Amino acid sequence: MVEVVVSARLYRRLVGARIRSDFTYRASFFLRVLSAALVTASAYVAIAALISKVGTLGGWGRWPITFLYGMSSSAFRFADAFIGGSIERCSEQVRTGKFDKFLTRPVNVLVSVLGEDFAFRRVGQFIAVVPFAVVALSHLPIHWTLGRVLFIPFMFVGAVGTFSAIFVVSGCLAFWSPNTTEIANAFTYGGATVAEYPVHIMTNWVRVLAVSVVPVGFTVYLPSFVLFDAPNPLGVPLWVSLISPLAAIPFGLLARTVWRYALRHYRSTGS
Amino acid sequence: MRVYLEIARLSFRRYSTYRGAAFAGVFTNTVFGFVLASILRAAVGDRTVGGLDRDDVTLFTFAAQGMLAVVNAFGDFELANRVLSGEVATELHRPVDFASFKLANDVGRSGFNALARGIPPFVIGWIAFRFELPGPSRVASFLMAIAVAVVLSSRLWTIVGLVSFWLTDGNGVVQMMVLVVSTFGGVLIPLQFFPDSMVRVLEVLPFAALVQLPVDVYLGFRNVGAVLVVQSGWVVTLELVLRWELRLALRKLEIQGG
Repeated sequence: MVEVVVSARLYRRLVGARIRSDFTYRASFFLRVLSAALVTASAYVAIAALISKVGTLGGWGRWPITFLYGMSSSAFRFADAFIGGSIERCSEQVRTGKFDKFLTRPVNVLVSVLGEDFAFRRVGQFIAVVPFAVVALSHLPIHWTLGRVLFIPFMFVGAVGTFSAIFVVSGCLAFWSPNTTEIANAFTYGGATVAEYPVHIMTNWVRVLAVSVVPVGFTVYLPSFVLFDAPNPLGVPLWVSLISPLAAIPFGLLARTVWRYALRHYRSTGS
Repeated sequence: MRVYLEIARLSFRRYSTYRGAAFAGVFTNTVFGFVLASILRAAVGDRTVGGLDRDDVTLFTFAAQGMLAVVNAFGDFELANRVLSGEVATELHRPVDFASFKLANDVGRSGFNALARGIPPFVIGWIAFRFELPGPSRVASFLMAIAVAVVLSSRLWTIVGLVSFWLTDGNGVVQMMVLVVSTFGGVLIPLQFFPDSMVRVLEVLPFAALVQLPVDVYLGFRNVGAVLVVQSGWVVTLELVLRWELRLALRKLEIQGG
């Protein structure tokens, strides 16, 4: 318990230091956050274009698709801001051997990895995609109950957890081979792309991957059936949708095991 | 000229030693090919959208994924980081023209990537979906458009990398450009799916000239002559911008240390 408190305090100080250093060049910093946000949001243009041309995707019209995009990319960008970006930098440091420095410190390795490379501009990307989820929710004909309102934060937390687990496991590939940054992208960004569309439109084996190796189907797609009064075209029962955010727990534990195993496996570059 | 041919040859050799990286790239491009093809095939169904049917979108997706590395559509952080760390000074010291040196380097890399990264995703996609392949004359036009796209991409990304001379960290600019190219260059979703009014603007911008226009030539949607005119226009324009930027950058550069 003491260790957790120490870690939390350390994390706060590391992140604080990063933010202060970012704020030193205030104008350039805000410009970067703003432009990163605008460009991130512009990715929606492609989806909006697609929907306006084809009408519906697998029976889903503009607002359900927009909700799927907004909710999944909010969760993805949130996980990226606090976990993914730092893990990506960490893989790079494993490759160059600079990762050694984390191991010489008397603190939890993950905490110092996550704290040291925190980049505030990624929070800007998160903020940029949230409005899509909010606007879509206001347009969807959802029969609101207290349960459904509370389900949204539950869904968000679960999705962030699952995306974080994917980030950690893909990042760990770098401990085995130096050329895996691109493979990691296939799982992280590829997974995020799958999460932006209804899983039932995908070919069979992509569907299978979406609930197993890269479990993005659990992030927003399955939970969203709790909000919509429509049966799942794949015949997935409602109770599975209800508990699907909990998938973050087993996948998170798995990621923790992989991370610990990877750390033990780490050998410096020796150059 | 001889020296640049030699640089291109060495660059080809350099990249051919990174076999693991090439394999990883093929893996990623192929996975994205399947994901995007899956989405677009479902979106199109049995209809044609913007002139594309199910076979066309599949071919489009895998051709585009194969091309990404060949034309280096998403650039890289190498130049931005070299400017940041000051290592760029070594390159500027060389008794060759910096912009042409970059181009020769990029051409060599593209040559290797054409063989190692361009063909495999396309072949795997074809094995999975068996889309109809265009005839040899269209293949020849496609290859011409790719060749110009390689030069265009080199100019574009050198310009973006050199922006680091004015910013403390140019990585953000590179990242933003990646998103712009993937959204407005037809990489994620072909421009045929965009509203016509947007297409009229996007099709004459340099982002579309990297991937979308060459693939359109391959599919037979665009006349190769018209595409080459747009591409060459941008090559000339960006070359001038690059020269101007380089002059300003060199005036600003201060090399420290002994």
